[in-house]
Amino acid sequence: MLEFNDDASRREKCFTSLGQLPPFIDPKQPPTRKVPFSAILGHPFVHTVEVTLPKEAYTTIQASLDSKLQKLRYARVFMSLSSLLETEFFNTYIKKGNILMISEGRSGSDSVFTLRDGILKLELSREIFERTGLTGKPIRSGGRKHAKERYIIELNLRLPSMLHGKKGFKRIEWAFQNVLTQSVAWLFFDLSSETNGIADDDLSLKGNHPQILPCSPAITEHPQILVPPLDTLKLQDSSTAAAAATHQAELQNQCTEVSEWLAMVSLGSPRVTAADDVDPYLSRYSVPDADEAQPTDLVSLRWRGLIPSKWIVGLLVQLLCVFSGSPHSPTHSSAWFAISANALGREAVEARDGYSLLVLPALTMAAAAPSGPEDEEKVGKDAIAAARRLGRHFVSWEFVGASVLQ
Amino acid sequence: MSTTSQSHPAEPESAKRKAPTEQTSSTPTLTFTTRNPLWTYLKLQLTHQPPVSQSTLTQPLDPLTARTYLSAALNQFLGLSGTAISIDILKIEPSTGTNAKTIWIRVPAPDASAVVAALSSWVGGSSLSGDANGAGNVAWRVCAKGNFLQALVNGSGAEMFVP
Repeated sequence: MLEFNDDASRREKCFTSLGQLPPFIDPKQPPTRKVPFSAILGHPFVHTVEVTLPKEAYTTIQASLDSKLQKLRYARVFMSLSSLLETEFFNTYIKKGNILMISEGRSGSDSVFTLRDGILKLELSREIFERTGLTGKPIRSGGRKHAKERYIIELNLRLPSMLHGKKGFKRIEWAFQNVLTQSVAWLFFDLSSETNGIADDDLSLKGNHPQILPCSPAITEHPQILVPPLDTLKLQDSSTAAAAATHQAELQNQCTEVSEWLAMVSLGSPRVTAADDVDPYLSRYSVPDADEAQPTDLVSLRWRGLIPSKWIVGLLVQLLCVFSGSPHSPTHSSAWFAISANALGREAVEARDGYSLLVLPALTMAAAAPSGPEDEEKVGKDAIAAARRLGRHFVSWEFVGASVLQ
Repeated sequence: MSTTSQSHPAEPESAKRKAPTEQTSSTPTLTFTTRNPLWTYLKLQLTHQPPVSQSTLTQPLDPLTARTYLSAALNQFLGLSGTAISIDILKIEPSTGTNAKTIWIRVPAPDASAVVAALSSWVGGSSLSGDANGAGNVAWRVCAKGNFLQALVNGSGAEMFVP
């Protein structure tokens, strides 16, 4: 209606995938390339992970989830770049170990540093970049006409040439001692398998005085939430091409609406509760398929901290495991859950903001609650067995390009 | 809604390992990209300009007041056509600490940039700033804007770096 150009909004996208998870996932070797695993692994730095599921299902799995899930902790530490290269820290955590580090600052305006898989990335403004004397390449900084170009320097610190005393390494040391001298706040996570984020024998991170922060879930109950029917999101084989096309268009709309609904639940909005009677002057939001929606108690678990993607894959695998663990329980087979994560260190342009993943119930609601008491056992067991062979349906959304200041 | 779509075929089964007869092959994954959804979501914060009394600062924001402030801003910038923009108030955060007076709204996506422009240029409230009531002036601050609510709900994570 109003002719205002909105460049940022045009670049926003959501990649949606619908499909079926493999029927069996090896917890030691989960898939990496297929959605939704590729979406999880594509976001290396995550600041919030949230799991939403019906309360009834949560109470049955709570104990086993608590015992099986790896405990998390991370550190906040003030360090300059040159202290990363100090022999002890460098050898322990970068050469031998595997750590995840990210510095404070906003991409696109501040100098931002990340360290992952031994690769240190420095995003710098042009002036600072030129003073460092290191090689880098220009990056997109928003495409604004008069904004200054920004550069990224990528240093693979695991290369055999990256040793104290070598010539190329001396240049990096010089840049860190003379140009990039300021001390910044970092978040630190040690990915070594036996540690829970920070090695027990090195709580001082080689004398850097970190603040070690435990990361345990905050549990929020959302009583009496209207849950839209989720079975319709399952992919079905359509016989004709025309039917498939209309079905797909419907699915696309449904996916957007369900994604909005999931976000409303995690926001804790009163609009999704069964008791809400807001005046249409204030809000006209309604739950998708509101006439078929069931009021259900939901629970959400929220982890906040620097969370590595591998842990989130572990979380997904554990949740799938505990829900398929006792095959004859209809509660488990009719349970759904959603995992959503928000990324830290978003780039200035088309940043990956995060993703959410909805794993649909293995059974339809109707099959989980059969009418006759005698049929119950037989029908239920058959349906559950069939569902177990097929793997669960899922919907995953990946979000790109939102503008978040706070 | 403009979308592009494609579907990937399922991974081919290896010839040596026969799948059990009962096992039907899983349906192929369907992927598509959504670019222009219906709504744009905004996280807004109501800020008070000094001088302002403590009681005004601590008073929780109610939906009707919020709606009035939003309409006033749109009316000032766009006149009658501004007030015609539909606004849904999704949530008003309970006033605790730093999150004071934060609300979440959604507006139709084509109007979003007009709404942002209107809200960020508006200063309202009592005309006699510094009067006996100490109401002071108010203004909206846009904290987040996006076409997908899930990308906004948990903030940017920047506060984790602050001890």
